[in-house]
Amino acid sequence: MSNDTFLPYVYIGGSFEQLYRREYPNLVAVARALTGDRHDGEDLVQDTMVKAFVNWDRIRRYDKPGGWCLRVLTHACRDHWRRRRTRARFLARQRNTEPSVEGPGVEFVAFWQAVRRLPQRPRLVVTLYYAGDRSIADVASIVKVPEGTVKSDLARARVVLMTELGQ
Amino acid sequence: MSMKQEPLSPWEPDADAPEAVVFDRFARSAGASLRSEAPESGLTTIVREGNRKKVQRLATEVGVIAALIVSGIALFEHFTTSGRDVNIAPVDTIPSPTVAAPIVSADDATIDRWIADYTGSPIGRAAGDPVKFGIMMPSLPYSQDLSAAANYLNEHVGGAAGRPIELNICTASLSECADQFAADPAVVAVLENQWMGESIGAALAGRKPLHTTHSSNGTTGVAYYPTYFETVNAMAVQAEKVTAPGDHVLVIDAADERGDSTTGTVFVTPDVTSILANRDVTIVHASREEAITDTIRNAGSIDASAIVLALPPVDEFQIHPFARTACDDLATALDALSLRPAVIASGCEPHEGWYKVDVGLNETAPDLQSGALAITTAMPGLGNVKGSPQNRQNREVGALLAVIRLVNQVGGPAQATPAALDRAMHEFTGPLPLGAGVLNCAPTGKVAERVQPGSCVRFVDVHQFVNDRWIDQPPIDLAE
Repeated sequence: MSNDTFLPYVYIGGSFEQLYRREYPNLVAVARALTGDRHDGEDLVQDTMVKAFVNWDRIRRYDKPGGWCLRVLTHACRDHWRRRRTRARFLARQRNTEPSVEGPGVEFVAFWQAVRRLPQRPRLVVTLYYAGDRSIADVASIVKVPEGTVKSDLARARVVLMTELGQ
Repeated sequence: MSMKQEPLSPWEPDADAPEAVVFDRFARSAGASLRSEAPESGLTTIVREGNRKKVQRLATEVGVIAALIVSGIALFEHFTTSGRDVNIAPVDTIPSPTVAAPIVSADDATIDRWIADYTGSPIGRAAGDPVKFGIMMPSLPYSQDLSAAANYLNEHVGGAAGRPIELNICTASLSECADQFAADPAVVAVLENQWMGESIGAALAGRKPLHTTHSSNGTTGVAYYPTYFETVNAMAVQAEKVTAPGDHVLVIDAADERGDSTTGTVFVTPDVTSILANRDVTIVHASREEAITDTIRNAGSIDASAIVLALPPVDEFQIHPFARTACDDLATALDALSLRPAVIASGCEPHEGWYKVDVGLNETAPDLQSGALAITTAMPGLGNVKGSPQNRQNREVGALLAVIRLVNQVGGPAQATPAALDRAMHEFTGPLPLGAGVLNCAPTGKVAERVQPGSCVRFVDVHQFVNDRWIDQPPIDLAE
């Protein structure tokens, strides 16, 4: 199935497979951006999709089941991140060997590392907007803040990131 | 070798585009670089793992039901063999939540059983003369959701006391609606969610019982509203329990916006200071813009023996904007500052050693511990109403269930006079904090002395997270 195939966000009567195929690319991008690790990201997406499958009878009635998945995923990423901090020294060594498989370019790796150093909410907002490819309204709905807050977070993050990446 | 097109250089100069546009283009490319197609094998794995979890959940539910049956039989045998003397006054018991485990997804039979247990209505189709409820909810989706809920209750769970529920939805002015409801003898109670404006309570002036989903200063007469204050008070009592006189207790109010003009608090009333009179108390309002590490430092509370974190409840579906952040930030701050105070909160995810104080009916979610939130989410016909704010209807449907419960409790619609419902509220002891207008719920004891008027709850449950599970602690008795 092509990525361009339009699937309506109303999944009433839609299948779990449709949700899986449509949402996976953005979910995995968000998870990779937030965790900084491809395999961990994919594992967290799989866990999220298992939860979605188990609760499918309920979730299918939501206007945007993808939003539910993103919310569950971002919480999982945050827990994951918290656990990882306790192993920071070990991970610092691991990170050096990370780009051994095909992945994003060096500039993009640096970009996402800088994003991960942002405070929690801007980090989430930037990730959902650019990696999750969500609209400002969607991000606001997922993070549960007004759209104006999302816009100001994006604007401030942009300044910080541009400074940090040395443009 | 990658088949992807070579991305633009990150900060490629572009005379025609401002910096922000260049950044935006680059950031989108950075996002795209992380995407990958859903693997074909992934779906099979997910379905297999999901089915395994479903079986596990079913097994757990069957186990719980079996345990309940065994307990029921044991209890029955106990009562049939021990005998009872009606002249002996009943011993005070500590109430437990109405129904224990929240249900994540449920079939109709499960929903019906839960509602019947909660409200006291019989399972089956409602029959006879309708029982009317006045509805004052200006936003159409709320009324539509309530109508869907009423239809479901009428078809499946005996409406109210076995009779069909009829909603009298009024869209006129407060005073017109109040007069209309008051003049109709078939209207048993009024439900409203005028949370942005003046309450209909004043216009009703006690002529009909009112259930409002937001506690407004204008709520008067025989009225019930959700409350979070009692949970915070119970947290203060728990802080008192786990500290010694003179110890420093930090109370953080994590409401979204500042409330009180001096302390900035919303959820922390002067009752907390009163409860912790023998402790060195610091009360602060946590700002979204300020790291909690700084909040603790600025409050001079590095030496706190206990920290109370007052914020609205959190659950899987309804996430208060600041709540999760505040919990996580507090955990991070304690790590950063190497502090190990007792932490007492209400809506946080588990952290080793932290205490959780139960919440009940409140502004964010109805009757969280009893499972009403999950039930109202699972009720067929709800959640699909076009334009309905996601999950918002749970609060209003929860209010309807609560009122039906009260109506049944007093013996049915014919007995549900304002005075009878008033009495029912006076007798309400918890464990769900449910506020009540200007009622004085307890003539003596601490409950009556509290600043926040008329909240009827007495017992609030407390748990502590130890070794990966919640351990029940002795419930807080607010009247002690």
